[in-house]
Amino acid sequence: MDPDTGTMVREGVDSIVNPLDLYAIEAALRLKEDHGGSITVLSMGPPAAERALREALSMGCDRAFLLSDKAFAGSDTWATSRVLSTAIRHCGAFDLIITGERATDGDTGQVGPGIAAWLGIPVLSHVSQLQLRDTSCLMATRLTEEGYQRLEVRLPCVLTVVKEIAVPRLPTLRGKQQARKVTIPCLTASNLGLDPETIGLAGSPTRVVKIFHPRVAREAERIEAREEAQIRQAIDRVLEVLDNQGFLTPKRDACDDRPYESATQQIQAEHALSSVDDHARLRPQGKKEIWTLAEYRGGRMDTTSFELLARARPLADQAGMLVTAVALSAAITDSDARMLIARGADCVIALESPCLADFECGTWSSALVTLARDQLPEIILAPATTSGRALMPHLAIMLGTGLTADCTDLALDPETGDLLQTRPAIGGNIMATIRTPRHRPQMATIRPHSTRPLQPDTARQGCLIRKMLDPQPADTRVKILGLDCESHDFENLEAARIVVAGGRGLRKADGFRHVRALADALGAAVGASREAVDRGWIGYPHQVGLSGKTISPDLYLCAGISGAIQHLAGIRTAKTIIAINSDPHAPIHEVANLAIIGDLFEILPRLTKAVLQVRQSDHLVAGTENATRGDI
Amino acid sequence: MSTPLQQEIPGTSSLPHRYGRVTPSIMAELQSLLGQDQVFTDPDKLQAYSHDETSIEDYGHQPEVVVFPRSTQQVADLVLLANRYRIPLTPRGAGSGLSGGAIPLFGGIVVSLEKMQRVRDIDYENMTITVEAGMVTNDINNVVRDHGLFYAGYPMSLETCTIGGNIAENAGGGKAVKYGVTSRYVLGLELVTPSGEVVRLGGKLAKDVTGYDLVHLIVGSEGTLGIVTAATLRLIGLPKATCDLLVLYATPQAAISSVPTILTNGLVPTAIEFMDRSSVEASCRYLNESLPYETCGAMLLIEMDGSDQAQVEHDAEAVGELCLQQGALEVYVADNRTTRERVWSVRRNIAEAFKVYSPVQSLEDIVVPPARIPDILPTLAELEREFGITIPCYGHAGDGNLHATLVNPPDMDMERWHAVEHEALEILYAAVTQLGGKISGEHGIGLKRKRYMAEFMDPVELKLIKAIKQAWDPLCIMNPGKLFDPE
Ligand SMILES: Cc1cc2nc3c(=O)[nH]c(=O)nc-3n(C[C@H](O)[C@H](O)[C@H](O)COP(=O)(O)OP(=O)(O)OC[C@H]3O[C@@H](n4cnc5c(N)ncnc54)[C@H](O)[C@@H]3O)c2cc1C
Ligand SMILES: Cc1cc2nc3c(=O)[nH]c(=O)nc-3n(C[C@H](O)[C@H](O)[C@H](O)COP(=O)(O)OP(=O)(O)OC[C@H]3O[C@@H](n4cnc5c(N)ncnc54)[C@H](O)[C@@H]3O)c2cc1C
Repeated sequence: MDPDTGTMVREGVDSIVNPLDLYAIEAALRLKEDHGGSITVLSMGPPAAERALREALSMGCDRAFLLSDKAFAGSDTWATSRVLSTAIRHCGAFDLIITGERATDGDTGQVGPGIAAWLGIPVLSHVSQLQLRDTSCLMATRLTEEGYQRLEVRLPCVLTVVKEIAVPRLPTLRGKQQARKVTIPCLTASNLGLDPETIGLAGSPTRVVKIFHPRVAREAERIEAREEAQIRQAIDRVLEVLDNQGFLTPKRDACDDRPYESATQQIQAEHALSSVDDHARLRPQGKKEIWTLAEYRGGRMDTTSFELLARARPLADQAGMLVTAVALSAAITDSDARMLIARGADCVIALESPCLADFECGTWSSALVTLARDQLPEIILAPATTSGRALMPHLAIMLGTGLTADCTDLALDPETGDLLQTRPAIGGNIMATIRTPRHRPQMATIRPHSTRPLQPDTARQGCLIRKMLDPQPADTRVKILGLDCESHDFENLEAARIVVAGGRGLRKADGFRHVRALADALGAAVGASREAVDRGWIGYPHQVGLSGKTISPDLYLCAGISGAIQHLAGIRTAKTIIAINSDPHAPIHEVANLAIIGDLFEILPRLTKAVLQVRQSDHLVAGTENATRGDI
Repeated sequence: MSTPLQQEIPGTSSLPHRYGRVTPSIMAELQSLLGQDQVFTDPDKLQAYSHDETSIEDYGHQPEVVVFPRSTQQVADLVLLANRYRIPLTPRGAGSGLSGGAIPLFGGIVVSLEKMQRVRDIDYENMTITVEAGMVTNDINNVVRDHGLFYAGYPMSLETCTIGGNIAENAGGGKAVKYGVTSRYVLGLELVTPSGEVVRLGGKLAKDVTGYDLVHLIVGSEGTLGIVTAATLRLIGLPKATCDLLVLYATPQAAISSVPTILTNGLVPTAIEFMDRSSVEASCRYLNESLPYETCGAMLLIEMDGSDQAQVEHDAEAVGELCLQQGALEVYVADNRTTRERVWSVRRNIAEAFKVYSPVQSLEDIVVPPARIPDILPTLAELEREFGITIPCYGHAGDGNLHATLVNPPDMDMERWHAVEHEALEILYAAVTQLGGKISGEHGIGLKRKRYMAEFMDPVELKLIKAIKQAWDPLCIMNPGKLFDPE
């Protein structure tokens, strides 16, 4: 990264195809094998990117274009998708555009949906399976948090594909030889008729203001947990760490309206949910708004909706802004709206239409574009979920503004009042703080579960505005066919945010009961050391380490694992490590943020019970009096 | 532990009385020498240090105590103490060995070097690095890479094994065709002898004929002639460009037959690795990877490296063409980080994959003159037929070194398996010897192959080896029972 401009320095580094784009190439090659057609690859980058294009040609692509110009340097995702979409038009007619899920350096995933917005064609993100039905229509499966969503889409369209789509082939020697002969035209800004002021660093709405390295040195804390009092203290401390990192968000059941109903009755009496007039009254002239997205998942308001409110509330209070939760669904109940208010919203705008029942990027985006153009929010926040990460880049292009992906921290610049959006990049190796100085709204997606929702405050007042939208979807080119929940392997170790793992210290297969129970309580995946796998206590897919899976969960909690070098190789990038091991000299304690020296059979069951209690009660962690709150 | 095979190891039950046991008072001495937190006797720890990567059921033995010295002085003190009470010592690196070398056959003390992993010196002018024996081999490259330097002697287990273990086994790796094995890179050693003296052998020298070449006597001595505490290693310039070819053949025979042709063609590959179809299949399944193995009987993974990208690509192309002329079905090219890591990780994970899918097996390490490897395949096929077992095979074909893996079929009971394993190995080793080969190329003899070494080695050579051991370690306390049985 260039420390001055905060942009990627792409010169002089080994120019390879973005590994995730190889899946896009493979998907295209398979379509071509089955249905004919020709494949064009485009890359925007320094002249060295030609090497990557040749790799694509040698795999079997037909044509390649290099988009290279000093004027392109420093482009953010807005400018990049602008250049790419212009070049796509320039290159002639097309039926389908496929991109990788995201680039492994910038890691935003915004360019694909952005291109679709520029070209005015549908986009399906996170596609894991696709099949051409006829020359004008394809069937696709999207990998979402809820399961596999099946859709049908008319061509032309944009797809962003995930790894499941197909394993990329290796280029053959003959392919390499042929690729070497192909001339790759280079397109510049003037070839494309682009004004240099509207692209590159100059044309990018977002600015990187600061780059820094996340604190890598793990702060180690050791707790002896051999006697009763110590054990209790250790459990409290674990809960506290879990809580600080937002791992104790209440279970969905605890979030719904039932336990809350009686308490709300009061507000209803005191302050009935108000009308549009009230909204105008509550929103005095010049009072700016922060919008947060509220989504339903599996028929319930998703916890990310409340997490966003917890992000927005302090910012709004600091700058005298209002927080408006914008909920999209077929129908939004009063009690859901009340819950949003109780958890920090000043106002709820309910966009209701049968066509909003399931996520479809184009339809949701157009619903929000109309509203945003009308109300001019200052900030829009959405969760960095599969839907948020497709919707927001589309919306940002439509609104002509910048977007920052997957933020882990938000603040307001004391001087300009601009939103400072901090996010990890390059696999979390660096952090970048980004600002949108000249464009409004300022938009960001927020990493799910990186905040804890606020405690519901039933005394909070707010208003609800219902807007019924046209029942016909704005975009009829996409049809949602259904959702398959069962087939998704939600135990996916590599994707899990929390992994609870066990090793030889569990003594026998039955020992994994304790690990599973805690994993269930935390909504975590189960991992294991090779010793445990070799003994047949658990299947090989659970093995973590050099010859198992390499994982980067936010939390790795392990018990009865010594921390052999091969095991550690699999968890090097875990954000927080909590180890439970009776041996004070076990190497795992040297890498753990929280090292609990004690008997796992004593600690695990009690920890599980405590976690369940907290998550079900949705109350702040009790019994932390012994420990000081500290950032781990 | 009393599995059938252990009782077969002659002498294991009668000999221990020669050795002293680690009594409470000796424990106290150990603790005062090393400090409380470097001496362990809890059962969990003892169990973990009772085996290496060979089967724990077949070869495992518990030590009486495991110690973690932090300095050469501590190692020397420890050895002196062992001399006083005649307690067997077993040096240990990472325990990734495949011949049982780090297993304490007679109990006693396991001396783990894993806490000694400092870099003592990097000498850019002489292109050497001096490190302590417990340094993980891959870490050496992590330290020197930014300076454009490279330690080329590493084995496939590089992320795991220690340099001390590599030296003790004279490990070879995936680059040995061009760069040679560990011994080529060991210039100097710091050694604690079996009697507890500290000696420095060799140095940062390009040549040295001052006396016997003791450095290279220690390299490959499997921890039986002393404990290596530090080593001075030769570094070379990091190759700037690398290109791998994954070459598919219809049959293992076709793949192996083209190896001598490639080797004598004038271009020197860094590696020529062989993988038969079931090896690739197992590893792909294990890694959830997919290489186009369905259509082939075997693959060669050929690596070319050098300082100029265009030249390397050109050489690789020439080798690829040669393979096609030799009847290869297809040649795939991996010339960037992503694809190279993909193909090499398939190669690296074969052993691990077989451990998961065929836990009862014997991983062999036969070596023959490189031009003779096509001649060994018929023997393997014959063994498969005769004994009704499968023998997937992979390895460093360019070095004539193959890891034929005898796999226990699911329906064969353990007793029968051990008999079959033994009989098959006798035939295999005889064939290897016939071709001018040896029973181990890089994994060593250790416990696992000592009965066969006694059988297939020239008796005079064996006598000389025993004489050397007797001269260096008259009390026979340094890793006893490895290579051959103590007299
Ligand atoms: C080439 C190679 C590849 C490998 N790949 C992997 C890999 O991918 N993944 C992997 O995990 N390993 C791998 N290994 C194996 C690795 O070296 C270790 O053997 C393994 O990780 C140890 O597993 P463990 O920690 O469960 O067992 P141990 O090392 O035996 O540790 C058990 C731990 O449990 C603790 N314990 C016991 N009882 C209790 C109790 N009641 N309460 C709390 N703690 C207790 C003990 O103190 C001990 O620290 C590999 C090895 C090699 C050579
Ligand atoms: C997946 C896998 C792949 C492998 N690939 C290869 C390969 O490509 N090539 C290859 O050659 N081997 C390979 N091996 C075998 C093994 O990794 C090597 O033999 C390695 O050199 C052993 O190192 P270690 O530190 O694990 O030694 P250990 O297993 O701990 O010990 C091996 C021997 O060295 C002795 N020893 C250890 N440290 C010292 C010391 N400081 N002083 C004196 N003696 C000592 C021990 O007593 C023992 O006899 C592989 C193993 C695995 C599991």
